[in-house]
Amino acid sequence: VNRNLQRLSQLITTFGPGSMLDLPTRSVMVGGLDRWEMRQGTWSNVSEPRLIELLQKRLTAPGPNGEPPRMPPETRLSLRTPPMAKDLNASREPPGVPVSVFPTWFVCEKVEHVTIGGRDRRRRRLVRWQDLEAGHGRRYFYGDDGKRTEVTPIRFVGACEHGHIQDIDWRWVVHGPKPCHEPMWLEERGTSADPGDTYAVCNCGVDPLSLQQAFAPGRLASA
Amino acid sequence: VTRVRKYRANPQRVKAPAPIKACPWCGTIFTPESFQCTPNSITPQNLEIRCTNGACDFTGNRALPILTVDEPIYRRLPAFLIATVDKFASLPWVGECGGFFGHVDRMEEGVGFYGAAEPGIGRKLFNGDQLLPPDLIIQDELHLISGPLGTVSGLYETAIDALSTRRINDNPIGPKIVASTATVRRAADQIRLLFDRKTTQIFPPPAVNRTDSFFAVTVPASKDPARLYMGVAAQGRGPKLVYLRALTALLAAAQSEYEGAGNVNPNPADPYMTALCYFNALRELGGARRIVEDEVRDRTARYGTERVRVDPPTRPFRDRRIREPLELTSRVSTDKVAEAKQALETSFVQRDQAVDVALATNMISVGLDISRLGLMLVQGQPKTAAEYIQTTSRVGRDHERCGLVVTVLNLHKPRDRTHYESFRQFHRTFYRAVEATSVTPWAARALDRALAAIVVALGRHLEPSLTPESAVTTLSEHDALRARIAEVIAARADGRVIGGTAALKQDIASLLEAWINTANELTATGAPFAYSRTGARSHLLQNPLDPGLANLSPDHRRFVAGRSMRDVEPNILLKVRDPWGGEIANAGDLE
Repeated sequence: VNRNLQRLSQLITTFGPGSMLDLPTRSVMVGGLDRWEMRQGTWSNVSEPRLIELLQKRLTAPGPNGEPPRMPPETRLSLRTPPMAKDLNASREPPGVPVSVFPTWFVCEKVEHVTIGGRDRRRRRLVRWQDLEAGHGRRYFYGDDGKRTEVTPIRFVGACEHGHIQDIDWRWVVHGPKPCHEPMWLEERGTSADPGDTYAVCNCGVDPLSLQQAFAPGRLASA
Repeated sequence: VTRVRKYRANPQRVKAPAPIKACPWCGTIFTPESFQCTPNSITPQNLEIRCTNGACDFTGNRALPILTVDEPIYRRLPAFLIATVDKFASLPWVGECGGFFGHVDRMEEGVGFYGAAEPGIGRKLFNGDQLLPPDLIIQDELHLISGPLGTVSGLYETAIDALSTRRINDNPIGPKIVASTATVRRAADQIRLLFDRKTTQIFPPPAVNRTDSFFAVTVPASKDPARLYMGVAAQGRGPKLVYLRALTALLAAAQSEYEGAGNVNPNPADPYMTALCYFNALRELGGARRIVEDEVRDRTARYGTERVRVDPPTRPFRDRRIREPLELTSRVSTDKVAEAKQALETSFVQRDQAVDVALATNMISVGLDISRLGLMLVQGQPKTAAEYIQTTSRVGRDHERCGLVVTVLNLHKPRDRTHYESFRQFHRTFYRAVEATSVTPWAARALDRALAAIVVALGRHLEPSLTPESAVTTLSEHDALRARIAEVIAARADGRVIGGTAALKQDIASLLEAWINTANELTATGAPFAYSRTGARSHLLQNPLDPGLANLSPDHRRFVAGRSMRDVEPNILLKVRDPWGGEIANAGDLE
């Protein structure tokens, strides 16, 4: 049995809800508290009176700019451990913390060398989760030649100044609202793996997008 | 026994049953025949180590006076004992380990001593004497006993200190504690919390002259250089590429110097022929290993020929053939690591056995003492300055062969960038940047974790009649002892607990009461009850991760004691879901 486990304390810092986590075979984002499988008897209370008091004070106080408090003042807090799987091989499915596959865009491992406009280019196919083969737990992509290739999660995601994170919709970023159904590629020029040398390219001939350009405000999503 | 058997069957692959490679008397390397179970492998009691050199004093009938198995150590109580702090955890669990702290009044010729754990065996020691508790405790690498590990071991130290304290003319005399470290800050605070010693004295003491303390003399770098630090960083380049280029250039340049020195022995360029590469994470090391195996090997083979200087027209590099890199990490077995250390000591006179590139994690940052090494490549600034100093001190240990440390920094990481920008200033004064460590044995969570263990340890070993496994039921007969346990712990905590001394004493009293209640409850129908599982099916102490823990009575559940200072955290199961929140079916990697 090949279980993905995480240390208890690591689920608080480093890999808490909303953080990206590299499992041996998948890149995922840890689910929010509402998704944790807090079945009766799988967690215990953490007695930490001073921390609870502090949190209670903070969360029931109005914000610095007069925002309403995040919790009604009569709320009573308690701290719980995550759901702990006592016996991983029990007949009943043990409780756990759901984590979602993220990002949902992938790069094929197979490198294609093509000559465009007299220059050699190294490029790899950009595919979405939906494009992956449904069998084998969606880990492979069948290319146009019918051959199977492994995929790795793309190493770029979008983040905003407020700390939100999202997948980049590469088709939208390259094309804008214009519909297009051609294959897309991640092209790397030079040897530096630098944003300026990495391009998202589409077969339809639209201008390639260098990741340097992608840093421009408003480029990754419309407001 | 299985380990000895496995090692004998396959000495290359299986690690040796004892972490010792050669005879300490004559230096002959041990072979599988050196390790022998006595009296025989069907009823083994001891592992004896003999030298394979027929002329050595420790061969034939006379084994080396080294004990490596727990039971004979408890029996023979050697005068000199080497252990890790993890072994403290056996204090509540194993009655025999009380023997280290005295309470040993019987012995048998040719067998060993009998302590309070085994009443009624052996002859009385002459004059009805007892053995003395240890008087000297040496703690190496004090800076490692910090954080969570230091916190828990600080609590166990309470028990150890109380057990090793003798009373002479009604004055309590504790053992002398000598701790050694090269990188520590606020050591007095750490020692006060860890060992409860009010004063910390530095040895060698700082004398009249800052650079000459009589015991040690600081030689200026102009006269006797120790290490040269160099920072390498490149704007707009990935750290792997910088690492690749730096390593290639260093290896090829070392080869050029080595050849240029001609056929002299020792060759002055020999220290720089082995590149010791340090990594902050196994993840990075794994990637770098691929780079070394592939690109570095490929490039160094032709670097000297291709990289030619035009003006002046010289060839500063030579082609070099790189062999398989060596790994010093937790991913390889202890025995392989020992072999790797041996290989690192081989100079390039024996070219076939010498090492070109060694890849290491923080495993090397303490205790690797190979004077030959002169070249280190650090990939990325280590997380703490103490770690950085410790690690880079592995090269240039010989004053005749100074060290070269090349730190590859990633300009796109803010921390690395800061270090690069103030490289000179930081390195001139880096001892100043050593981080203070924290030890908080009296924090509420630390007490949750280890208070029961030390209460049991104190109770079991302070009173000899409570030491045997089955004596766990007799605590109620020792009123004075219960008061003494609370007194010992409260005196040590000195009011540093939430709620103060009164709350702590009450906590301890309720623990002792829970102990008595549990013992009464579980022996009410005549069932046997003991401290640990070796004594009886039902036992007081529980493993933290025991699944049966939840079924015990609330009183009994409090007696959780780890078998080590670490690893008491349960794991949480992560369930991978697809973007719509559903399970991923038929995924071989997730099932």
